[in-house]
Amino acid sequence: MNASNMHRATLVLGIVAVASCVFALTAGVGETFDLIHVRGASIAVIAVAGLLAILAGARKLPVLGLLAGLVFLVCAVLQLVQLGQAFNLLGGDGSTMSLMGGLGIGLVSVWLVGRASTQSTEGPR
Amino acid sequence: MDTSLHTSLDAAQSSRLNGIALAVLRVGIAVLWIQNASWKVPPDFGREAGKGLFFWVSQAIEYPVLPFYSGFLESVILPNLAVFGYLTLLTEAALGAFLLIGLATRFWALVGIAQTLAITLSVLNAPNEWHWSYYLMLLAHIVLLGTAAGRSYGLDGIFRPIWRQSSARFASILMRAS
Repeated sequence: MNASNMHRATLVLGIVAVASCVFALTAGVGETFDLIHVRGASIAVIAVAGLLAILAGARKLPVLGLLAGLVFLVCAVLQLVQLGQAFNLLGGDGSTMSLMGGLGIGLVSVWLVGRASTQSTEGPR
Repeated sequence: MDTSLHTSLDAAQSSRLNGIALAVLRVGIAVLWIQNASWKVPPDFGREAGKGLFFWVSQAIEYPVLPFYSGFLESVILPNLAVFGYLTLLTEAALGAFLLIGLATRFWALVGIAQTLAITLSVLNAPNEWHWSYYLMLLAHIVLLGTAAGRSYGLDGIFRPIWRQSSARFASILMRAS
């Protein structure tokens, strides 16, 4: 039961990531609807890591979910470091950092809690 | 079908609808905080251009809500805007991130209430601000806190049964935070 919930959570986080790429289309509509800055290389990062998480959830591969989470976290830190700098590799801003950070924390915490749950179920050998 | 079965079905349907509504509220508030992180740009947070966070702190000083709070902004926050700017940016980015995934939601709802009060006390009297927006913001976070909204379609709902069985201190803290 716990394991299937974890796989489903990974799958949903991946779907949320891929769905958030819709904000790449809101660039031209003004601030009112352009709520999350998804531009440039950050589109590719969010889409690819999101697809990894979907694959991890669908094929029940927790390590792949962890990998997707770590990609998001590293990119969130990279985006934080590059905020306000002339060179912005991911092309994002604070909102991109927040989105990637949330998805990364979510995917990594699913892996951590899932692992702890499995260990406590198996018990000492 | 007998009456008790009808009542049970009604309750289940109502509970499901409540859960969906809370999840929509939580994710909606998260997206607003995420958006709020977009215009806080380090390292000077708008000081040189006279916009961004610098502009809004200046507005708070020019149009005080509470004189002592405005004085605090003028004497402590504005001279150290780089430090407080990062603190604000990271707090609001974290609010968006954690509310989006529904992790430790009650704790982050409390942080959201504190941050809402800080913003309200800063710019409530600034020109062209709509006071309802700040009251609604505060009320929305109270709902997230009171309903423990992360338990509805959030990670809190999935993790809590595992945390409950754990003897780790961190798990008991997360139980309270969620």
